[in-house]
Amino acid sequence: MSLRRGYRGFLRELLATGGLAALRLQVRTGALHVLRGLLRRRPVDPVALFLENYGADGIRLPDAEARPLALAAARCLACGLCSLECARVGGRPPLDPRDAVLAGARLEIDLVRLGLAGEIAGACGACRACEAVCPAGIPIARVQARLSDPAAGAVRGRPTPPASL
Amino acid sequence: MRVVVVGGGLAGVAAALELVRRGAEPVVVEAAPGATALSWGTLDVAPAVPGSRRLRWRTPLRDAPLTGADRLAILVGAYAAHPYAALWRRPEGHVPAGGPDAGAPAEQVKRAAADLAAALAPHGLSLEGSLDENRLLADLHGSLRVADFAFTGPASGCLAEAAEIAWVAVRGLPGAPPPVALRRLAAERAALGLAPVPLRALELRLPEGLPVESTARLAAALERPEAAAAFREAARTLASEPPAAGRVWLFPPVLGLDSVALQLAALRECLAGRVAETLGALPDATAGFRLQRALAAALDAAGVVRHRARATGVETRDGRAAGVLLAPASAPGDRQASAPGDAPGPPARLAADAVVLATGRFLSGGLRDGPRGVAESLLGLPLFDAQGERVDGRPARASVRRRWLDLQPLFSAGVVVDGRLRPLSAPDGAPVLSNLFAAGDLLGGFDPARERTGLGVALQSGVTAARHAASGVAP
Repeated sequence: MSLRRGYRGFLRELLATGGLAALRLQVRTGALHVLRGLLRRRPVDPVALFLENYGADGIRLPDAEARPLALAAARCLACGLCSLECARVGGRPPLDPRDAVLAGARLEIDLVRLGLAGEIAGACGACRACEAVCPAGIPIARVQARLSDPAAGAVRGRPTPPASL
Repeated sequence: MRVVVVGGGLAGVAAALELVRRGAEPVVVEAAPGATALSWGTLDVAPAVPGSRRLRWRTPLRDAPLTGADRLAILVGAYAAHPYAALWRRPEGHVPAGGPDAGAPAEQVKRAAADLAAALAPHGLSLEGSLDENRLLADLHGSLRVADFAFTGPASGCLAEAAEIAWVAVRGLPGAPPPVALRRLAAERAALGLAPVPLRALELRLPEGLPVESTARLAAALERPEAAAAFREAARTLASEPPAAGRVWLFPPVLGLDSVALQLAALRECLAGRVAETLGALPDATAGFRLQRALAAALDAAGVVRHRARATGVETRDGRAAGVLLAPASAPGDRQASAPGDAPGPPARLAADAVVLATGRFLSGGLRDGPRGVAESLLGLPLFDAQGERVDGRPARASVRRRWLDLQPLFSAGVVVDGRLRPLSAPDGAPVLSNLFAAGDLLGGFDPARERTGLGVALQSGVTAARHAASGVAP
């Protein structure tokens, strides 16, 4: 809706000011944008930029130590046998083993930020029953431990747990 | 005589149980659950998917339903590369569909199914069905399936002659919204030419404390007697309506894991009519999980030695398999400090008079896509697709067609076997090893996911491979 309105606005401008003037306006604003990008030569730290943008949402950068683990977790078929076995042996982790593996595979979700680390560390007994049934052979207990480790994964400094979520 | 069976899925277990019956001494090597544990509650022998372009469940001319036995005869006769053709190959060629002994394959499958049912029955899972009638079962999303055999849970939910269908949706449980599922169910029934029946959606509100975040959690929770009682109390409120003859109650696949038969019986008592589960759907393979547990229990009851280990190779001597090399089930890099007091690890080598490979395909670890392309994991056996094209030795993507509705060579890749289920070096070559047999999804020439007959092939080929392994190898 807003897009169409914007487009209509441009058309109205085009009709009101005459085609050439509107076109010149477009070129000028576009060129300005490009020029501004070229003139700003101050180096940008990509890591800092990433953390600034996504850190507050609990997404962190994978570090070298987590890379093999994330690759192992990426083999997940999402078959759910781990969560069945976990439920069968009576485990009640706040984060389902399958969800943990998927989180570990896709994004380095920072559970410290999400306020779940303490509960996970306390509740998952690390009995590794889930690993025994995993068709892909994923070290699920290590993924769980890594996700709930407050010290892991912060590239710059250590993330501080928020007072409340 | 000792036969090492590599693979603990349905093919491996069927082979091991048959070996026990024939007086041999099977040893099962299993690493982790595979495709069997991800099955969804039916055991299909010949494909009959409504709308499938390859095999219909009604003959187009007479509009009469094809039974499982008919469909099996068609497969045996018409598809030369299919494992069924290898199972019942005649020297002069293929068995004609309506030939004099066209009933023989069906008889063999029925016997194998009866044996499996007898082995599973003491462990709380029964196998119901036959090849002479079709079972019309609904899945979690309201789609219909024609099944030959089904396990406890979905087995009692045949919708062909239902007079009324009560669709029970558990409040809070993820899944298709009941109106969507019922619309699909009505449309698919109409497409099959079945008379419309009343379809009703009922919402089941569970008391606090029962987990509803996934069907898996709820099914596991119902193993506790007090949770099962609470569930039944909640279900009793559904029965307030007057009982109707021929009503089928369809629950999601949450009725316990090992205790599913008891749960169904208890629910049948409080609700008038037949009670069944819908077929499961990934990501919660509750039905496959039950099957895998019952299979393991059946092996233990039969006294079969099971090793939890990954087979890494087959030792050969003079053109024969002499043993199987094992490694601990978890990869070396994955090992954390193991708990003290762990059971002793598996032996590094198992001597064998014969070897049955039931390692499955990619999902189960029997086939791999490595740096040198697709390969069979244990021996690097040559792999062929349904058209007889070589698949191994090149990357998996080279065997994938661009249009996804095409038949994909990669999905029918497997070993080719002779009439005694021994892997061959080429489609009409010699056996690779004289006492090496293959069973289950490892057999190429069919697409278990498309035909959905992986378990049927696994059952019959497992039994047949065991028969040949037990009889044909005088050391």
